[in-house]
Amino acid sequence: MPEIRRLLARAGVADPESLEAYRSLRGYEALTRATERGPAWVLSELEASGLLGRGGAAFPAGRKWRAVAEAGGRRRVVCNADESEPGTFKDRVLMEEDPFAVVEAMTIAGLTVGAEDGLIYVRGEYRLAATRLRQAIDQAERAGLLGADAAGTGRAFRIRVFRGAGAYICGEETALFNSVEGRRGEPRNKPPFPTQAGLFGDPTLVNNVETLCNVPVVLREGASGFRRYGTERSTGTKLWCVSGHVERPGLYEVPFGTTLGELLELAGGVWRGRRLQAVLCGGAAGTFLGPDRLDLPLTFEDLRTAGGTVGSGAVIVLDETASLWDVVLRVARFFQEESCGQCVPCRVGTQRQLEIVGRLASGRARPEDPQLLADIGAAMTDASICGLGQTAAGAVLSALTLQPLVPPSNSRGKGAQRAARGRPGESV
Amino acid sequence: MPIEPNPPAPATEREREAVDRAIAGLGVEPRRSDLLPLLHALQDELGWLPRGALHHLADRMNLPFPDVWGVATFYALLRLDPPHGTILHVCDDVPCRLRGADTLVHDLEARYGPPRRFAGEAHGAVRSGEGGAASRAPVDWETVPCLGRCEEAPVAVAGGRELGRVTADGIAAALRHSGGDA
Ligand SMILES: Cc1cc2nc3c(=O)[nH]c(=O)nc-3n(C[C@H](O)[C@H](O)[C@H](O)COP(=O)(O)O)c2cc1C
Ligand code: SF4
Ligand code: FES
Repeated sequence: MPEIRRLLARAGVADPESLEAYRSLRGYEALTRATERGPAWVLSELEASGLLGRGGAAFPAGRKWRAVAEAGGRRRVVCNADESEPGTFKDRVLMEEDPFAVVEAMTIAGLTVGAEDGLIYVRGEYRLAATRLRQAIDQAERAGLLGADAAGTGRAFRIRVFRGAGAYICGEETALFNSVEGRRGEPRNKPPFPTQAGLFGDPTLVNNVETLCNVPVVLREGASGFRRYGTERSTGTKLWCVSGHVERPGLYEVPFGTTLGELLELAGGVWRGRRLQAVLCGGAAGTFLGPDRLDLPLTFEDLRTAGGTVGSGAVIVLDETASLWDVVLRVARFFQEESCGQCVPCRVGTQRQLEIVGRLASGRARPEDPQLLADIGAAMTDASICGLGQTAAGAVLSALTLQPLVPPSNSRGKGAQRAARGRPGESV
Repeated sequence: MPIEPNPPAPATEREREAVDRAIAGLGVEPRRSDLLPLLHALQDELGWLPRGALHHLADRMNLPFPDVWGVATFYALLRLDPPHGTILHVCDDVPCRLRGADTLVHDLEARYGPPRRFAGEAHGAVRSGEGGAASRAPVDWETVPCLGRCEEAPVAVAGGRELGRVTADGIAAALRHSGGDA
């Protein structure tokens, strides 16, 4: 399947600091249509498009927009640009290369759901993205597209950029609210859901950068035009962040339904003519897929069936020489460091998981370790209050299915060492 | 994580001024939701967040000091002790490791001493905290999780400059350029 440039149509082509350049490549067409046809039309197109959230949870965008539009009182729009999932860089590219698209989409969101306040929560490390967004907001204000009378609708909508400060957990939507409110960025219990009580207690629409950037496409092409790419249940195109052992790491836009093998081919295939060992799909919160999965169509439904996830769109490629357990160890350390510590299963579970993976990675596995990992994983998945704890064991447990530990009787012998270290060769 | 000393350190003149200026920059009375932006502004100006400045900030915002302290200690990018050299962040997350970050980290350790945080990987135990007296190199460096530029792995940020497909020599050159005596 070919590469598509729909979300990436302007990236690297149009000057990201010029409203004129944005307009000359169909920028603000969608907002014009939205204001001509009104919120009801926007909501029905968005629902008919089947657009699912790209931030990890795959929630239907139209349904979320309608819930906020139908909520009473003061409402808010938040763009989640905290992007900190290891292996993920798509939102950074969108914000750096096409910042007006984010601004246009948020303006449509604000006018559709009846919010006056928009906020973009940008990961603290993304300085250029924050600068480009601020510049785009300034220009949009000067052109009357934002402000007291946004786009001539007589309705107010403003956007401000809020910088994070280095905490993966702040990408979780309710932790993000706490962070903005000047509290520690710890997740809240749900319900209430953000659409009911979000930022400052007001009904809040939270969408990922890539989700929002799809909205102008939906409104320009119409729902059926949007569905020209993708499958019945995974509509449109998807940005995949391909990294690791491929010839050409980078951001690739393809229709949903493109197979894993086709995506890897676009990235030049496994580097140095080597064979594929595994792909870590979805980032640290994702799962490993073995070389037998190259024919897997990349869709929400197919990945779920395969025990995987689209997650953040990270595709991390390991060649045959990589040490699988060193990679797993880094993932386990990530969760141990990023757990906010608020709830016990996650705080203790991520620590214990790291210790056990440390044993496996150094060839000192104990016979009971696989079962221990499974038990800890089950406890974290069932009893953690947020997605961090719920996904913290996914990659670890899926690695065990790719490289099962040898039977306990050999556990201190060569077999266990080999199983624990992966194949010899280039260290990771 | 540094422990809040008792009694608290008083703010220096420069620190008080930095806090007052940051608050004046808001143009309105500070609200609690201005806390993180104010901490960013303070760190941009002072290079870190001295205890005295945080006390003065808490006073000016009518917040209990522990609330300010609790937020300041939550975020990896906020510094509660003064950098002892040019700041260097080296990504050692999975995609960067697959592209040589492990070798890079070893090379940097040989040049600049141990990083601030270092996970004792072989044992799965995490040693955290300061690098110790041995790390008084002119470069204050640490390994960090994914910086979101994995297509250019391995990646580092040296003295505020983002570097892709980087080597230890490339980092040394960038540090020289940004005034670090490396
Ligand atoms: C630990 C954790 C981290 C998350 N990080 C992000 C993130 O960086 N960006 C993002 O858009 N969503 C992130 N999410 C998902 C958000 O909570 C939320 O579902 C999403 O922003 C909704 O937008 P969408 O419907 O457009 O996907 C994270 C969730 C969890 C549990
Ligand atoms: S699951 Fe982990 S990260 Fe989420 S709230 Fe609980 S302790 Fe914090
Ligand atoms: S892993 Fe290093 S930048 Fe993403």
